[in-house]
Amino acid sequence: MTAVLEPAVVAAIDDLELAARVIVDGIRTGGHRSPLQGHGAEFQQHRPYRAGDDLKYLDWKVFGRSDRLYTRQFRETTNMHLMLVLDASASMAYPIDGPGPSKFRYAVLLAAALAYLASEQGHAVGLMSRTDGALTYLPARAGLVHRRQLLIALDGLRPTARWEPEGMIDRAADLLGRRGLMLVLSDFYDDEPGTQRALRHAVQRGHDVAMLQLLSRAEAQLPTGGTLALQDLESGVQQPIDTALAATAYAAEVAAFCARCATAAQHAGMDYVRFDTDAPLDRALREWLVRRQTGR
Amino acid sequence: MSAVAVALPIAVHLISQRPPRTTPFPTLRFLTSTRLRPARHRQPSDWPLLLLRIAIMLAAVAAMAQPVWRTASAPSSMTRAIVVDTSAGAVTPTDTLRESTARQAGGARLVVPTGSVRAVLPGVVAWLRTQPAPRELVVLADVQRGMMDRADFSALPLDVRVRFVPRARASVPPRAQAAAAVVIAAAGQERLATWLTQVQPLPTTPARRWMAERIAMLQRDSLLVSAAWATTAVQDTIIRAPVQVVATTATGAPVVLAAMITADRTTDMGASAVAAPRLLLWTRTDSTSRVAAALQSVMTASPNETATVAVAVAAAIAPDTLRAWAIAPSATPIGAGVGTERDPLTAPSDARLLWLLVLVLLGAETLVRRRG
Repeated sequence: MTAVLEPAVVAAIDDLELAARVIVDGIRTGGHRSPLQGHGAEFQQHRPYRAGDDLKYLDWKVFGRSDRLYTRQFRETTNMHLMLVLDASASMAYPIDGPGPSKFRYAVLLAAALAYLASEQGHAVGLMSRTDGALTYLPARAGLVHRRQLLIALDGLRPTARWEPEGMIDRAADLLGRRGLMLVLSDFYDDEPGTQRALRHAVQRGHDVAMLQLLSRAEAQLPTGGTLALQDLESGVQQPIDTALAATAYAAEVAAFCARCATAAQHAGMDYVRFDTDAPLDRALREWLVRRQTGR
Repeated sequence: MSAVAVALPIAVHLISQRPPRTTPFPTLRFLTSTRLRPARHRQPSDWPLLLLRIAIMLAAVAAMAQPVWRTASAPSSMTRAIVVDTSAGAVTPTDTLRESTARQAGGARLVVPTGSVRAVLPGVVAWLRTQPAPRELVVLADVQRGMMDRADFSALPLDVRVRFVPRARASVPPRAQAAAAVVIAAAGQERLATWLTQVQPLPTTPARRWMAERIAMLQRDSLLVSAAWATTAVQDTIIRAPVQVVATTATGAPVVLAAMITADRTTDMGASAVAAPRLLLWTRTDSTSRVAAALQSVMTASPNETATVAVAVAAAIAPDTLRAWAIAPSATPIGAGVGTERDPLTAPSDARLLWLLVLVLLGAETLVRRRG
């Protein structure tokens, strides 16, 4: 039985690599050993069946002929390139003093887990983000050393100011080169039209694009407390609001926004998943990966 | 307290205008939609809300004061006996009498017009004893001396309230007001009797009543009559004694009347006994010439008599005396209908309506605040 990894517990692990390993182990405990598959897998050889092998890869024809169980092994013909595009804007720092991790911390853990998983499978992983005005970019490469560098870079990111999603996604799509997998981790609050345009452009270039939208439960609804002056974390603008009056309409607006993102992704041929940062990360990640693996 | 009720919501209104607590939020993009209204600034211009809050406080203060509503048209379950003095000095026109009793009656059960308040009081008291509580006796009269005294009300039950309503004498005809009783002290009865026999007897009853009323108006310290004499007693005296017409008009209507008074009484208001027969003259005219002529005729008939003339002035019972006579019920009401009278000190107030108003206003304040 897989133990549920509470986001707060995982987020408390200072060592990002360890945290990523914990998450990946949690995913694998569910029996999914190869959730990330590259394109163009090719049959390589048979090997005797070992307990725990996926029955999907049993060669039944051989069993019928020889009464022996063999597992087919494949060789990835394409070393998948994975580019992680991480939103490090100030809005990702919410919730600031909540019991669980902030969206940014959750996104870092998620990116670390994905990078760990992909590199374990021999894929190349890259990173693009912007923090303190400076661009953080690691090209997609495989290997343990690169993975460690990537995790260090992830650990060094901080949610500050704004980011320009259209430019970042376009840049990442260009730098990814050949057909790759681009995972955009963001709340997608900024420049909705520009973001959708850049994502569609990335899909048109042949990349497999996925929108990983991160939202906390605290922002899906307005905070309680009567009249508050809500301050935008990115712009600093304050808006006095009667939370009791605006709660219903606000929740409807948020739901409509998420629905628009999902619809836009579907129309553009992208994958879309929304992560609740208050829910266990490993479970959410596993569910998503399984969904991808089984063809949605 | 009313000032506090007005000042408190104003203070709360102003205090609530402090800046709201700043809370960081990831984005305000969902709050800029026209569907989302910003917080209502509690500015002083928010008058409807402020006025509602003031009204709530005032209604609550009024409810805590526990008011008791009194309406003029509210039917009273009080049993009343109203004694109306119908003598000329009080209420003369019948219409005025009816109007007075209607105003004073309300739920009155018994109205007794009378020319002698004292005479009817025993009967009124007896009637009140048979009636359910609460009970009240109202006396509408010009409350002149001799009409009544404290002893007349001693037989009333203790729970009967007694009220005196002094009546003005505005309806008294000017001629009657000017009428004076001319008193002549006669030294010898024989002579007066001889003189009186020469005078025509009083022809009409109204004139006789008029004379009786005049006697009731005499001062206590008049030369002839004790002020405590009841109108009826004097009237009887007048009737017993031959009333002579001393002077008449050209058409024969009596204008000066004379009678011999020989009765005397002592009362608790002080004795002024008539020690000797007295001759009384009354006149309806304000012409002193006729009075003088009457006097002259009397003097002529009795040239050796000494005449003392005094002008009688109507005297009313002092207001302090009336207040002392006015009886507030001093015992627990008895009989049927007990407890139906409203006692402002112990009866429940009508504050429930005000508390209901407070609740309604609170609901309105909530609606107005939410709409803001």
